[in-house]
Amino acid sequence: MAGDRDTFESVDWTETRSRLSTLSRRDWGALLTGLALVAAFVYDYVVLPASRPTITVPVEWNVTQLDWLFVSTLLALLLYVVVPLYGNRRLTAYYWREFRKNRMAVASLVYLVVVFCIGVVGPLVLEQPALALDRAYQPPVYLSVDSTVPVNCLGGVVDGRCQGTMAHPLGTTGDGKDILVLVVYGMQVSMKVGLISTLLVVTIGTTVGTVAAYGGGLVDELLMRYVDIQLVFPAFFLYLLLTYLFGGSLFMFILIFGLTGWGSIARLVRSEALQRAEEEYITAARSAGAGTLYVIRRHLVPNVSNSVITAATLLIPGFILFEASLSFLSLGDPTVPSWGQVIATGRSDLSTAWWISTFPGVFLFTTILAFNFMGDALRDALDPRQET
Amino acid sequence: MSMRWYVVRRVLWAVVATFLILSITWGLLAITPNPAAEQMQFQAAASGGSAEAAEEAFEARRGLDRSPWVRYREYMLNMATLNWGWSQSRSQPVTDAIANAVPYTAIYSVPTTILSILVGLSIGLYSATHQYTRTDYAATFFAFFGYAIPNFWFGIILLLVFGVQLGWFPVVFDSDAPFLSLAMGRQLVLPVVVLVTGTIAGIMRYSRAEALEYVEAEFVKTAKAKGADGYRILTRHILRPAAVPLMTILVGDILGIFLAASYLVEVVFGIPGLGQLSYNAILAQDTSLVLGTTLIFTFVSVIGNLVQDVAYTVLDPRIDYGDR
Amino acid sequence: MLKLVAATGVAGLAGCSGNGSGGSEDAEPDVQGTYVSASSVDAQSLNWLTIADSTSGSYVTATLDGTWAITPDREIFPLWADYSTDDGRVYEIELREGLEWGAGYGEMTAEDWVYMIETVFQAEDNWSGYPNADDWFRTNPDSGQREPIPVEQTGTRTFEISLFEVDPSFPFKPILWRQQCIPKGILEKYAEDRDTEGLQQDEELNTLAYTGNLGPYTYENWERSASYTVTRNDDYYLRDVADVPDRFREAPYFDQEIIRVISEESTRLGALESGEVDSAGIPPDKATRFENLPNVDVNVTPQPYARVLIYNMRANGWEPFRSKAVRRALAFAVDKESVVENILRGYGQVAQTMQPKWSEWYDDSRVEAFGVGDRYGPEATRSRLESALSGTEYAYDGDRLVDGSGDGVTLTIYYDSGQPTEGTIAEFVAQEFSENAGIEVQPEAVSSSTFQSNYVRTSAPEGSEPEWTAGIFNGGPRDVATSAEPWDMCINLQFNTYPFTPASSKGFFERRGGINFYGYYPEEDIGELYERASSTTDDARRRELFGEAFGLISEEQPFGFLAMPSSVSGYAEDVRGYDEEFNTGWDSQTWYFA
Repeated sequence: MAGDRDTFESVDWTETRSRLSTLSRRDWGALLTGLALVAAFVYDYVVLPASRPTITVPVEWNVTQLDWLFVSTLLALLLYVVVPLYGNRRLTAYYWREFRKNRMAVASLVYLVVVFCIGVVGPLVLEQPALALDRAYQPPVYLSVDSTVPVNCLGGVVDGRCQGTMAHPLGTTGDGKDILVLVVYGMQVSMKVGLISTLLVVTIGTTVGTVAAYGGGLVDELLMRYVDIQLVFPAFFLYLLLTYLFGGSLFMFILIFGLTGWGSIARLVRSEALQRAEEEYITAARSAGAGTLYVIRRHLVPNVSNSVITAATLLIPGFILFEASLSFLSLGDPTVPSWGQVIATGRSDLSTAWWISTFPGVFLFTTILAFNFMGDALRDALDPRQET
Repeated sequence: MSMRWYVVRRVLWAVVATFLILSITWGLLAITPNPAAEQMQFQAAASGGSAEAAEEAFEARRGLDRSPWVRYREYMLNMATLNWGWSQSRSQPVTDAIANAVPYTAIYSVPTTILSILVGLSIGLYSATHQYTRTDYAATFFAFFGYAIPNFWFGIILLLVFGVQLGWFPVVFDSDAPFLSLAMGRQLVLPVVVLVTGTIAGIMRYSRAEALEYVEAEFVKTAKAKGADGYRILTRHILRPAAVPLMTILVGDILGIFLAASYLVEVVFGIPGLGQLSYNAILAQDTSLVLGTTLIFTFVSVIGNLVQDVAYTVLDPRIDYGDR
Repeated sequence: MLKLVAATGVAGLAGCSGNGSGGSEDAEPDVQGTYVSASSVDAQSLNWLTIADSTSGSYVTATLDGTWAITPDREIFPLWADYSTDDGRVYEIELREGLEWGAGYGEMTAEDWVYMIETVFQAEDNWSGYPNADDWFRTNPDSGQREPIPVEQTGTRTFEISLFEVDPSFPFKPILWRQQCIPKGILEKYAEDRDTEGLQQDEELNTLAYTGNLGPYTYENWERSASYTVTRNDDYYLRDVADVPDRFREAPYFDQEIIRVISEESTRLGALESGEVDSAGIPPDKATRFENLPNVDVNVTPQPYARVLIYNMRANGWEPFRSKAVRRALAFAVDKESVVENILRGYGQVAQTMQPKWSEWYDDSRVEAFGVGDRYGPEATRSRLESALSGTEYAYDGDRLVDGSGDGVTLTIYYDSGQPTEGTIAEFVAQEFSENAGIEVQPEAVSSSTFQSNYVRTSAPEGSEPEWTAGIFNGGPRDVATSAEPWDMCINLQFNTYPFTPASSKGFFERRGGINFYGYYPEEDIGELYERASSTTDDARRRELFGEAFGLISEEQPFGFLAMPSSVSGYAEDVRGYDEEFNTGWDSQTWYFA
């Protein structure tokens, strides 16, 4: 508004601010970092040759497509989850108090944070596991296996049983790769699969759901009928076809199932938004002159976000488990050391070298369990309908 | 808009959706290169023969020497007239293949669904009324344990321990055992255990959430003040309003009760059911069989959605179907 | 091809085994028990005219014997028929007396055979889609065209096959070996109208109703994806034949045979361990454990498939591979014994040429050994590689091989993403090349169908006409025709070395061979040696010529021969009748329970 003093007469009733001015500081921040990321991506792809790593300080890291996606996902999470929580301290404190009631959930949160940190830092520090045939099938430390199973025994043979060593605390696979290192690499893969796919699904699903609910009429009908089809769309066939044509790849998995799996979120968001759309604050905003986009962005989405967040915390383990199942069916990405891949390679050895499938299986299991506990606690904490 | 018209519209839509999905499926299959064909050509060339002749022979066998439009029309017409054709990978009519496989899926999916609903409901309701107690944690942990543990891994472990080591259950699935016999029951224990533990969590969580909505409600407090014990409160006051959304889930699931096929479990335990049938059909690129199984699954899901939506509006008088 | 694979005892099938020498049993074994074997895949069809997979083939062979079998000593053992030839070009096939079809189709006569060959196998447009139709056509040297082989009925139970050229190993080829037949009465219904669908869906063909007394068992039941059951045939014709060894007297010795389909490996092996099945294939890394089990006997038989490291010598590969000296030098880099010991767990043999050591065509004195003993190592590899690359831009910079611009040489090696063992071998080769030859190798996983369409198929660029073309895999000269994607090495393919009919591998070693997708131009005329060997009727001379050919192949090292894995099967300890030789399942109808 113009003028050093705002008076009734100085208001220009026909002037409206541009659409862009409704964007918050945070939105501008997100836009800028997004652009910077795209610029860096273009630089990496177009300018740098394929063999040279993208960054060499502090660690050498050749950034892959998946890594770019992961970084953007983390940025999105930071800007749209962490920053708002930080900004609205009182609400965050309230949520935390509710959340804390469920002790299992707190333990799960701690576990997941630890896994996340190790998953991000670990692969930069540890070397990618390599084939070492003379170390195949080593048992975990303090345990032993019949000496006919490994070709070579690093820990010495006692009573016809090969002993485990601290060099490989969780044992090694049939290729001689250390399982602890594989588990750490697997943490990063699981994080990528879970977070990126979920972000895709949540973003698209929320958008579609809110637009359908608020728009109503033809828009609603069209969108929901499309969602109907997408819910039964044989994404699996498409994935299979692309696997036949190009070989299994994690990037493709995330893309296909992320871009076709948002149907149920859309339905969920729509039914929530339908209830919210009749609320007074929406009517008030509209009367004040807010456009459709503004209403959806500033009023609808934040109010449906609670159910979306709880659904999201359950989607993440769903995707991780799905990737593990596909790896079990030999449809996964064999070059990626995901937990599912390691379980799959050890499945025929369960009667002898049981540790190969079991340890990644245990980590997979605890991660999914943690997400579930957290999701339940979040639902209880975030649900405003529950009276205390 | 009347209810009847709404249902008719949705059913018509289900048919259109199924047709669309079938066409997409057919299209995807048609453009996928067939590994079997490739392999045969390679083998022919490797033994000094002609790769082209092998390819032509393959196409003649599969009827692929006709134009795509002709093949597409034939398949769609067949699907519509319920003449589902001949399965190349099993050399039997598609209807026979499906009819043979459905009973094997049903014998483990029916007990699984019933058990998981019963157990899931009870745990969920108990959990809602005794929130944050130790038994709540234990029950929740048990439910989540089953969900979190990967089915395929769990199945192999159980089979190794109870089948091979302890010998309590047979390792190989004997498909000749009569369906309602003890022998069949014995070999179904492990697969049903694996599946039930996996599905309890979802039902439990949902029933708990629904019941929680009413646990702190005014009318429940009134009942408590009047001296009703926990069990009576649960069944007479909480269950009633919570039953509505719960019903919708169950009704939607009933349709899928026979088709809750789990491919992973069928592979591990060697059960020749629908899951294996459809998956092997996809791998073998047996178009008629793939289309047949896709038709069933698609139609059932779309109708299941419809039934769920309708049930919700019928059972809950607060909701006007016009909103949907 | 189907029978070749079926008869070599591919893991997990109800294979047969035989004793070369007569058994020392004086009393005949009793007919008892049900033999249950475990298979990882189910058959696709019992209508053998439409199938090309070995599992379906083995299901059918249990009920239909076929013309003759080949013993491990490479002799023809007549089953339904015997052959005779004067000149190795015209073969007279004589069927036994008393071969009766089932379902009322009467006696098997030469008419059935000739009708089947002419109207189905040799039909101009292959209306039935018979997979091996191409076998029945050969190039007529007079016209230069591919024509159907003339077949003529010469008596009620005799018919004559007149090849265009002499081929002494004709009876050993899959075209007639274990070839089955179908009554004319069934084929007539569909041949006239060229009714492909009718033929495929015919009830009698799909339930093997026509097998009569022609096989040791008859079809009982087929539960798809679950089990396949056959029962003992009381009328089995072979029992009444005079000139067979005693052990066929009361064959078969099982009341029933059941094949159970168990796709999950741990379940399959678990069933073998708990005694629920009598036989199953065992992967090499579990074999030792099964050898220690008291109720299971492990049997190891050789296989004709060789694991080879293929070098891409086409324009989109690595050019130095074209030099024989370079290939010979690289052969010193990979420790073949380690592959056999560590990856195959000792269940296999080192491969040096396109024949197994135990084959009669393998001449030890002519075959050069690489990658074993003192013919292996970093010093040996580098010195030879250096001199082989002396005139080129490639040279050693310390330990690394570098190209003209000083960049280290990096090659790619492709393997099948669905086969973990291949992945292990690929990574092992990469390590060996890096250590011993200073060449960095990057393993890449690729699915088998992608591999075939993008890496094996070669063709000249769009619009250009190559000088010559030899089919979809060898699209032209190696500088012109390439595959869609570049590649340097691959190990996804195992090649059959054809120990019974070695001439079949000619296409690998000819410039214009139909299978020569890697662009190998031989220095010596190996193809000519093959041709001379296949056209001579003198056995000794043939052996000499083939010996020379395989010796030359080992010298030229067109690919890196790595190993020939063996087949490991586990049997319940009361099963008798199998042996450790190749094709031990040729007389499986004489196996019994002790």
